[in-house]
Amino acid sequence: MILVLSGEGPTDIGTQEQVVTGWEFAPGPMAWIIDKLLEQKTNYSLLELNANGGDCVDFLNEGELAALRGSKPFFLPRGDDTPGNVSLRKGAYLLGKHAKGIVSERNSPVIAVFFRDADRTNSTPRTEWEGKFAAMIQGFVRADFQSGVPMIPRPKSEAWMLCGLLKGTNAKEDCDWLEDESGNDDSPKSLKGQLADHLHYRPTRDQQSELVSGGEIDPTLIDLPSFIAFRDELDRAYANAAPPLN
Amino acid sequence: MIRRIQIDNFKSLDGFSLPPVGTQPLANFTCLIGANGSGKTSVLQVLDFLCYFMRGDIRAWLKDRGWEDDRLSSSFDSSPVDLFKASILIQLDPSTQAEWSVHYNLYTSECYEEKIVINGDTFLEVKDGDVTILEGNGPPRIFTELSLRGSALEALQVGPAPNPLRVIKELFSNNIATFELFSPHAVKRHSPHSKNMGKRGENLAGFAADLGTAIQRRISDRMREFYPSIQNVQVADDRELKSFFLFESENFLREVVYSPHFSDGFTRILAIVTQVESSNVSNRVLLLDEVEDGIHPEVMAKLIDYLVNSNTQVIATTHSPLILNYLTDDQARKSVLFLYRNWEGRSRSCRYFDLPSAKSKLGILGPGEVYVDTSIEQLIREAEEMERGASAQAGAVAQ
Repeated sequence: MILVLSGEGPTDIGTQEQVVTGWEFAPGPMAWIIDKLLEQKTNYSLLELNANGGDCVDFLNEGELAALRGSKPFFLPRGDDTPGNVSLRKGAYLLGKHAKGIVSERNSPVIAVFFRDADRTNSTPRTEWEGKFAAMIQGFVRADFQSGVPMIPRPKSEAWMLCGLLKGTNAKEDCDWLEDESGNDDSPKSLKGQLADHLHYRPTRDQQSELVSGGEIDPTLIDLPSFIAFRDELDRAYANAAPPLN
Repeated sequence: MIRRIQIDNFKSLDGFSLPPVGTQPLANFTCLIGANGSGKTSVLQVLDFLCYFMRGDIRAWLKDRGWEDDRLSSSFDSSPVDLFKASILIQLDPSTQAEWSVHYNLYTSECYEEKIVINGDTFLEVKDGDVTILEGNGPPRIFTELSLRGSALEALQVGPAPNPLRVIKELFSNNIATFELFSPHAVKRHSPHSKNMGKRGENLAGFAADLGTAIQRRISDRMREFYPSIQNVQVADDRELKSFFLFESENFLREVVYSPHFSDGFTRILAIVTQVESSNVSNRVLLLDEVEDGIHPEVMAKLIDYLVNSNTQVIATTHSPLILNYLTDDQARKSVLFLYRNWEGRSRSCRYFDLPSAKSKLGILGPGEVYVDTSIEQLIREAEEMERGASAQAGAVAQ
C-alpha cells in the first residue's frame, strides 16, 4: 500500500528534510495518526517501512501540489460555498489525480490524505466545517479517485492532540468543547498555548510526532466529531483502495 | 506607456496612486478588479479626462457624459479651491521617463500649474499663467499671463517628435483610446470617413476605411483568428460615401454579413483589433471597461492572449474570474491590481496577489479561481492593514 499525503506544514503532516542521500519525509503528528489507524488494518507501519527504504509514502508540499495544476479544469464556487472551499476542492482534485496516477504506475493500492486546518484565525461554525469537508470529498470525486480522505481538524490539529492527551488520562473526558475554541494562535486561550500548558513545554514537531508514535496519544480514543468524520473516511478509503491488478 | 497615475480630487480618487508609490510600476497589461464603486472606472475616466485636458477641451469631456463640473470634485476635498491634481509617470523609451503633473481648477476651468520633468530635468513649467518651455540646448521660451483651459502643450507650439514634449502631447491627444462609453450599436451604423473612432465606437468603419489595405488585411487576419468561421472582414462605402464593415461566412451559403447585423461581442473585438492594428506607434494605450462584456469565453481567452502580447498598453477593468485565469501566475502577480475604498471612503489600489489571502492560494488555484474563492471583505481588511503599514513606514522615514 502507498500513502499519498499533503498538508500545510511540518507540525501537521510533516515535511521533506534533506539527508545525505537526498530528501526524506519527516512525518509530523498527523501523519503518525494516519499511520496508527492504518496499522490496525495492515498490521505494519507504513511510516516505519518508508523510513527503512520501503518507498511507500509520497509527500507533496504545497508547491509540488501547485505544480500539478494545468490550465483546466477551472473550478468555480458552488452556491453554498464559503471562501476557501474552492481551493480545498481543487487541492483534493489535484491530489486525487496524482494518487490515481500512482495506482496505475505502481500497480498498488493507494490512499491519499489531504490535510488542512479548518481555520487558523477564528472558531469555525460547524456548518462551515461541513462545507469544507464536503468540498474536499467533491474534489476527490471529480478526480475519480475513490480512496481520498479529507483531514480537517476543527479548528486545528492541536484540538485533536489535546483531546488525545486528555482521553489518555481519563477515557471519559468530554472534549467536544475543544472544537469551539479559537484557531488563532495569537488568542490568549490559543490551542497551541493550551497544548503547551498541558504538557508543561512547547512541543516541537518531533516531540508532537513522538506523542503519537510513542503511544502517549492513542488516536483510537479521540472522539471529536471532526476526527470521527476523518476516521470514517479513512476506513472507507481503505475499503475502496484498489487491490493490485496481479 | 503610462507607468504610474497619482490623482487628487477626482470623484473617489483622492490621494490615489495606481500602483501604490514605492511599488513596481504598471506593466503593459493591467487588470483592475474590485467591488462595484471601488473606483475602477474612475481610473479610466481620469485618464480620458487628461486626454481632453491635453486638448484644452474639458467642457467637451463633460458634455460627452452629460455632467456638470461639480460632479467631478471628490467629496473629500475640503479646500476652498476645487483643485484637481494629477501626476503621471510616463515611459517614453527604455531610458527616458517623464513626470507630467497638473493642477487644474475644476470650478474656474483653469490650469494653475503644469510641469513636465524628463529624466530629472524640467522641460515645461506653468505657474499662474506664466509658461516656461525648455527644449534641447536652446534658451528657455517664456510666455506670460496666458489663460490656459488645458495643457500649455495644446496652446503653444512644440518641436516635432522625437521631442519628448511632442511625444507626451501625442500620447494624450491621439494615442489613448477609451472604451469606457463604448456602445456596439454606434459601430454598426454607417459612418463618414474619420481620423479616429469616436467615444462610443462611432466612425469605426470610417476610421478603418482610411487605414490602407495592409492594415485592413491585418485586421481581417486577426478577426479570423478570433472567429475561424469567417473570412474577409472588409470595409466598404455606401452611395453616400459612408463606410461600413462586412464579412463572408465560411458556411456553404457563403453568406455575407453587414455591420448592422454583427453581434455585440464581434463588434467589440473588431473595435479593439482595429485600434491595436492601426497603431504604428509604440506609445499606444487602450482603456477597456468591463472587457468581458458580450464576449464568449473562448474568444476571451484569445483576446487576452492577443492583448498581453501586443505592443499596446492595456488598462482593463473586469469582474470576470475567467479573464484572470487566462493570465499566467507571474503575469497575474504583476498585472492584477485590486481597488477598494479604505476606511475614509477613498479609493486605493494594491497588487491583488500581494494580499496574504490571495497570495497563499495562487498556485493550487489559478488567478481567477483565487478571485472567486476569497472574501472581498477579508481582502479589504488586509489591503487596509498594508496601507496603514506603508503610511506608518513613510511617516517614520519623514521623521
